[in-house]
Amino acid sequence: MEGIVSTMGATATGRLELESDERLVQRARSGEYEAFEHLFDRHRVLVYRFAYQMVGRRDDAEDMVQEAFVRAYQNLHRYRDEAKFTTWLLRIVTNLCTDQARMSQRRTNLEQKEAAGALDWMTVGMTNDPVQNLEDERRKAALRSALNALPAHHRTMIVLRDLEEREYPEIAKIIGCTIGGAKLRVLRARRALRDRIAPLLAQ
Amino acid sequence: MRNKRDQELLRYAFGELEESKTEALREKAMHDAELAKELQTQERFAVSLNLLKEVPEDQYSKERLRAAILERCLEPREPARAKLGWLWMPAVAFTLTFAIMLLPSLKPKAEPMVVKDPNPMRIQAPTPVVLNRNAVSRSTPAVQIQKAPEPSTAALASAPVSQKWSPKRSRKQYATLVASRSGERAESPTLPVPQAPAVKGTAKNTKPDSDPVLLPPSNDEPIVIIGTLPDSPGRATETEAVTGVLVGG
Repeated sequence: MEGIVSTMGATATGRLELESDERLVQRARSGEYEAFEHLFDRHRVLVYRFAYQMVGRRDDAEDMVQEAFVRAYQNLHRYRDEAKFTTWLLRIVTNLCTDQARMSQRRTNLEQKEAAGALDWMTVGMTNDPVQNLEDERRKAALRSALNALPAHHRTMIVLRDLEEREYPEIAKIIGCTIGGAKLRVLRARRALRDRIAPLLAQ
Repeated sequence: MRNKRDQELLRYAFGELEESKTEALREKAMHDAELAKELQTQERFAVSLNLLKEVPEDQYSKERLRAAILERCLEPREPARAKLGWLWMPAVAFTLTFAIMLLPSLKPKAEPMVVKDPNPMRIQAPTPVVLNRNAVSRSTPAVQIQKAPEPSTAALASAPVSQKWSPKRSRKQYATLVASRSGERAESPTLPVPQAPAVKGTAKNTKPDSDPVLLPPSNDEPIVIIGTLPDSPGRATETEAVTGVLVGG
């Protein structure tokens, strides 16, 4: 590809760092691949975190990051400046995760079984580990399993609001609903998760 | 009611409840053990979610993304509006079809073919009878001059027919007109004629270039031509019915 430039000078890098996302998008649109790589550097962690929270596995999350940025590169012309670039990017990842969740229904069922088993372990207390770190790890694993067992639309809301701490207006933009609708969806998702981990909470 | 309370508790646990309502809920929980326990459970739920905020480091690299993009041989796509170029194609196709359909009617019509009628009207018409061959121009064979009998000739010469045939006037009307004029002339043969010279004989003094009356060619109502008898002047006889008779004085 002609647009890919293998080396970047320090001056050029510094110049790109100062530029806004919108400007970098414009440059990338015109074929300047460096600008797109800079966008990737800037928002990679955000996308990866979201993807990891959604899929629960690092390698899967990395695949999701790759797919998200490839799609973003393909569809740069569709990006409109009225939305933040991160919002647009998160929308892409959200759609990817939703699609993946739909495709892997069997896998989700398996996750649900695993989650149920983990909760059984947590509630029955078969392992009595005195080390708090290990306890936390187990709690975390149980929570993660419960989260992964949630339907994709509930999981998305929990991740966006409670794990990535996005504001409601941005969530509304990412999901494509009103702010009130976003609040309601978050509430329902929380309720669904809470009901799943109720035995754990009762401990 | 329970749903609303549950909603309020969840919002409290995640710190999204209004300040006043939060204070009121805390006040209430101080006197209500069950509510206090419920609040504690909700808070534990919110806090436990914090455990999930930790995410392991990713090992995804810029080079991997570049390889993925290169592998798919991707280039940034053209703007959507450039891809809408196909929209004009149906319009062009429609216009072309319309033009092709309209083209034959727009073509100039072929020159009218002149076909010689093997049986022209002139041949079909009976040979006109010329009452006075000397006074009638032969240039128009279809037009003949009717000469009135002698007493009428003077009147006719003195009062040339000023009314030409017009398409609006029907043949019957014309026949009536001629008949009435003939009657007038018959009734008053000694009508004073101011400009006409004295006419003797028959058509010798008839002006050949006086206004002729051209009857419209029609086969519907034949004109009866009355000719003078050569052996007995002053008497007329019906010769035949013709069409296209030029009547002149």
